[in-house]
Amino acid sequence: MGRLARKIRLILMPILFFVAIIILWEFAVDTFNIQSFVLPKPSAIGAILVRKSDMYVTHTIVTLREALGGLAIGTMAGIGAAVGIFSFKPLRETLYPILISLNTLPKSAVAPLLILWFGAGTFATLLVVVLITFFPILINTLAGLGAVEPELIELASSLKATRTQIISKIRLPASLPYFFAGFKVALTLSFIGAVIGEYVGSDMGLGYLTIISLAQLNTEQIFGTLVILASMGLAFYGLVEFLDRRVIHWRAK
Amino acid sequence: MTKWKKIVVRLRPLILLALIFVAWEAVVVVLNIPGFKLPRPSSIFSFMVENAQYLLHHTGLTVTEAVLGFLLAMGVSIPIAIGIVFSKNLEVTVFPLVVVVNVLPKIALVPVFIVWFGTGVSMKVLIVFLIAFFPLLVNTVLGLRDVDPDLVDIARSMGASTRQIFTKIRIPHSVPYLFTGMRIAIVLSVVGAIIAEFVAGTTGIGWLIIEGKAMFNTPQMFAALFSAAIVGIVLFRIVVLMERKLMPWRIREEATLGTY
Repeated sequence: MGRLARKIRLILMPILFFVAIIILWEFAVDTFNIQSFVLPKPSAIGAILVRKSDMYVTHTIVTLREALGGLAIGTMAGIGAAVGIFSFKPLRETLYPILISLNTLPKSAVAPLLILWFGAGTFATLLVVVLITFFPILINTLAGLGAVEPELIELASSLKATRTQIISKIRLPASLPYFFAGFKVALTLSFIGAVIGEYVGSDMGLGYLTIISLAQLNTEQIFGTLVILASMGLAFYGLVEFLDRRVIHWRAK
Repeated sequence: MTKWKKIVVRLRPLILLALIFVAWEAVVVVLNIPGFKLPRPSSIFSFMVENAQYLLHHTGLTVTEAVLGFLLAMGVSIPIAIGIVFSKNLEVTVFPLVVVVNVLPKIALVPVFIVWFGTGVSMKVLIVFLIAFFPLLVNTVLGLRDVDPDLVDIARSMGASTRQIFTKIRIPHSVPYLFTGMRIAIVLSVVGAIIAEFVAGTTGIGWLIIEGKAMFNTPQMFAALFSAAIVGIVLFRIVVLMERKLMPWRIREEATLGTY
């Protein structure tokens, strides 16, 4: 088998498998006479997405804004905190293990508390996203800043580079692969955070939409939401994967 | 002296925690913050002591859901991982989809699971299973695959059977990866149980938090959050301890990403 043929097979097979599942699902619902509130047919899910597209778009925009806004703030705060902690040596050694343990706590459990403090709505949800995207960025950037060959730093210092220059010209670029690994994680977490925040206290967004659809036992509508969330998750993940390869092209995979 | 030093280093997080509580208490008193917004640590602790049984009951339910779902995910993911590594067809068709699903927000399935399985403990166990399953599966497959091909060649040239290669080389090699998956999965198990409790039912730590919010009973919210933190730390430590017993040569304090 040629290389191209193998590549095509690697891409095509999962897609075919996925399509087969969808077709099987469609027929299984008919054959076993499954009621639509238990498991709607893929065609019905597609139909509701078209029929209620206005409603879906409105809620999708809210969730997108919370997820991406929270991700942006969480990322900036994470990078800032990483540089701050790294440049202050006593903090570097004591805080790193503490941050790692903090990251293993169930962080999204504080969502109701954030809603109590800041009121129900999109702002509290945004804060949930900030809270959970902050840690992977911080921990990975911190690890990346430290993962520079000491010779490089010595060379730069011997050429009279200042501390700021060493951080901005050597350490930050070197930490990019680590940062991207953290950013990919943070990106998937951002949508999770938005959904959790909306479960607990919001009157807008896709997470909220699934909850009210549940109350109406409108399972079709829930599945429509899931299709949107899955497509968005995939699209953004693909985008970051692409950027990762473009920006840090020098790193051999 | 080194022994003392070691004790001090080990106690450092606890000392830090104590300092945080003292500062918190002082801030609440000095700034006169109302209790329903931010209760004093002392009033949270007294709430915990007075309602110890109540808290333990709900915490126990959450722990049960998290542990059952986690074990179920282990039991299902490991055989599937072995199947994926053994069968080229599964590896090409199923595994890419598994990797894709692994990055999707599965927590959004809670309402669907409520339709299918109700609002009881079984629904929550299944949510935990769903969330813990994918990181376990992906990491186990990666571990079983990530074996030095030279090692396999040598074993084969010495007459090892496929089965021997599997049990003697692939499985031992996959253990570190399995534990990476377990670290993520155990954290997510606790989170998954709590979020399922947020959405449905009247039991568990998640419900205590939601009910505390509805009743403006902030001490109860904090007491439940502390319980969640303790449960999270204890279960995570159990996994790390097992890892250290099984692989004493590989002691590390690795960051566990992808938890929420």
